[in-house]
Amino acid sequence: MASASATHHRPVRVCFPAGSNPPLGILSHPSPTLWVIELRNGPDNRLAEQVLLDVIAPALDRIELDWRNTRRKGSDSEEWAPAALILTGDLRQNKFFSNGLLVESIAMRGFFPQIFDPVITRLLTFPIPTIAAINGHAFAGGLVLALACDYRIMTSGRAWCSMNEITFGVSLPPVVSAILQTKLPSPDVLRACALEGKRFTPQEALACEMVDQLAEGGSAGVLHKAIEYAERVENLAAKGVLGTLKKSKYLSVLNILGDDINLPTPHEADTMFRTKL
Amino acid sequence: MASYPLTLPAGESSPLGILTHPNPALWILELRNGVDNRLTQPLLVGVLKPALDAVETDWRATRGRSSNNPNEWAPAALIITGKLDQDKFFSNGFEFANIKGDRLWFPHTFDPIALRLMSFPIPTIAAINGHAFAAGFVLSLLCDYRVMTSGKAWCSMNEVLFGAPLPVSFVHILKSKLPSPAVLRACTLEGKRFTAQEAHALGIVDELADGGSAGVLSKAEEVAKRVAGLAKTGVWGIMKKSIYPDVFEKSAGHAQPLYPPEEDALFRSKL
Repeated sequence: MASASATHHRPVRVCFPAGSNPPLGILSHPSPTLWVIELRNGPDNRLAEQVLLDVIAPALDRIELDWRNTRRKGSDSEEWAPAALILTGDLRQNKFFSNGLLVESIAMRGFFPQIFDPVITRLLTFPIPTIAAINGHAFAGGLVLALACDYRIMTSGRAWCSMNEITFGVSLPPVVSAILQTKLPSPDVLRACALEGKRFTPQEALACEMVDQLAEGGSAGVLHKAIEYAERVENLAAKGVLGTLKKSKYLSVLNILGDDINLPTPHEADTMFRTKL
Repeated sequence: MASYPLTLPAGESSPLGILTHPNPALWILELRNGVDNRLTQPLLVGVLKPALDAVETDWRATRGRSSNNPNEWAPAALIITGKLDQDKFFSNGFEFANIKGDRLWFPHTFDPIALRLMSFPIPTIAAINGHAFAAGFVLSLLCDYRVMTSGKAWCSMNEVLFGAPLPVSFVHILKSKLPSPAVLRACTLEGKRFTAQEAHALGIVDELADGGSAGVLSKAEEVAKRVAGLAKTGVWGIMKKSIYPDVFEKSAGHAQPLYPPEEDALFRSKL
């Protein structure tokens, strides 16, 4: 199971959820140092509960176990194999990376602290470098998924990044808000993204450093560029400390995990104001 | 509905502030406290607080009115500006006499009003029609957007130059709104005076306007028109509390920083 030798590498392809047909996600391991999770949940690739719990979580488990099994004694310290993970949308289309969460998930009590937050923070602090291959629109939870990765490669084609909660009158859950605060490059971009619900074109996202690179050629082109990037950064995994470094860096996010902070809805804020008069 | 123009403090013959409501989607609060518009107790408690109350009460009353949808409020924005019949000052900050020795000034007087403004439920625009120094600059940062005169005016935090520490609330406000660590350093540690052009280039202010106070106000009204619709879903203020949590969670209940003589004494007592 451990991919220790390049000459003996067996490309892996696992469908998730286990036994499902068609799969909601495919985990592949095309080379000893590269993992790819392709999410395939319907035309707009929603991050349904099943995708979070039965695709992303077990795929991360599989990758992490495999990578940790590469541990060996190096010349002056312990070492692990170089490795990187690419997360992408359905590669058979060019329209969506992910259109975010389902309305029924958001309405479900405890969804964020019990389901979404643990998965997204696991990805945020994953012990190998992660690259989001944004092969289409990244809206709301879909943008958060991309921001939770270390790097972002986006299609140069017709696609937007946005947080659209402001247009629905919904506030940001605490971990989502914390990820935006820590990953978005400046207060101006945070204001435009969270308060104005701005739709960033790929060119705008690149200009403000929300994404790292653009790629032509649709999903195939984005994946290709992401693989180039992965090859450049895979060695960051070798000393086994990357995950710990991310946990330090993103302490502000981890510190609120599990907090059931309840910001008021617009209706509640209204009521609270009136009762104070 | 309040009666506009609303002169404040209520009952005063020479008002320290005037709140107008020129159209259904716009309120303008003109602060006019003397030559350099200090943020004194009467201005904060007698003008700013009741003005925010009046605007919020009247705006909240628009709920469901236009579309019969109880989850929709009217588009709206609030502009805050300095005295409009002059071009020299937006605000020169606090009166030193107010803050010296009054340990309640921040937790009891300034911070509650500042935090209220920073989380105000409709978009706010500071029309910086002159110098914005110290708490005057902070006042502009409490707003969502900043329009500044292109004329001779500076923004600065000059506390380092007269030996005062920054209150905890100021630190979090500055960190939430200033564009980068380098700007934060220049502003707070160096007491840099940013010209309007520098402030604009760095993203501290969003737009510059020619034509003195009238020109600044006019540009602020353009911005207001552009952003007023963001108030409609009623979540604007809540969203701000979410994305600027340190300001709201960490401003209260912390020991205020030491003044240099106190720190000096503390160091010596440990020797």
